[in-house]
Amino acid sequence: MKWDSLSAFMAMGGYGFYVWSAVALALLMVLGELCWLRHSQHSLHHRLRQQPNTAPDRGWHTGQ
Amino acid sequence: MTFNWRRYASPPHCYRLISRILPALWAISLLLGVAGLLTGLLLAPGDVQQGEGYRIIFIHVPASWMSMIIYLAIALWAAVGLVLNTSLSFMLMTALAPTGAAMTALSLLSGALWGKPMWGAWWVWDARLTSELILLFLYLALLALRAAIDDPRRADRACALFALFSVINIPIIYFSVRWWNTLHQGPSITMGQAPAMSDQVLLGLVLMTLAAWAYSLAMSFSRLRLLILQRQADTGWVKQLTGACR
Repeated sequence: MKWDSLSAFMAMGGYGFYVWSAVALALLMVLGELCWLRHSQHSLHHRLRQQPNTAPDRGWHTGQ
Repeated sequence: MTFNWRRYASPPHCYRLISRILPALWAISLLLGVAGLLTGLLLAPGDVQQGEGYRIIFIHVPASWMSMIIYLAIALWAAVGLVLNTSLSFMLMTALAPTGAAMTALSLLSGALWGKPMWGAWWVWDARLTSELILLFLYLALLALRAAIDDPRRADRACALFALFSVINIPIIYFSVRWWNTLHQGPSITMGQAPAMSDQVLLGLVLMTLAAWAYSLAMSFSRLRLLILQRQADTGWVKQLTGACR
């Protein structure tokens, strides 16, 4: 283990804001994509149950 | 008994196959991501020149690699779709694009977070940065083109042609640091040369890169499942499936 204390780990030698912001952005990207996927999944399944004969539509907008 | 791989070009077979492998892919991406972050942030030693700020590379480098690899994969599936006229190839192309755009945005933003403390600027009009920004615009243009055309078959062909022409930007991004005198550093790891970094840094990078691969596959396959259901909504197997889910 490289770090002596939690505060040193969080401070990242003075680069804490930049390093943790990058980690937070990566997590936000993953969460955002997962939320979008979940929303699209619910919308599509709901529509398929309501209208079994629905015509296929365009690409990514599964929520429409 | 011979393995008939062509049957997986059929949407129902592909749907069943990816439904089976998706839980494992998500688990692998989570495990590798946690292991990679722990290795990169906790175990890897600091850099002599860049201090602890260099740790952004554990996010930035895998995101940058994936942004390029995903666009290459899109172009590959576009070519396969145009040549063989397989709807699944176009669906794969469609499923990959949003994750590629997200990876490109993450690459640019994490690069800016690295640039500010190291270069003193969030952004410079460097060849590598500019060509990566163009890649983000290409992803957005691909998504917009798809959404603008109502007929799925016409949209597939238009997006495939666009992807095939615009993939020329990928070698430009990759070789930009060699072709031009850029502020951006050269490749972190090159084929045929021992990497100039410690074992822990290399391990962290490899783990994060594998996590990014697993995540991109898992997310794209999840999106592909939805696209298959959407495009095959009028077929018996989808009606049977949705009927069974009620």
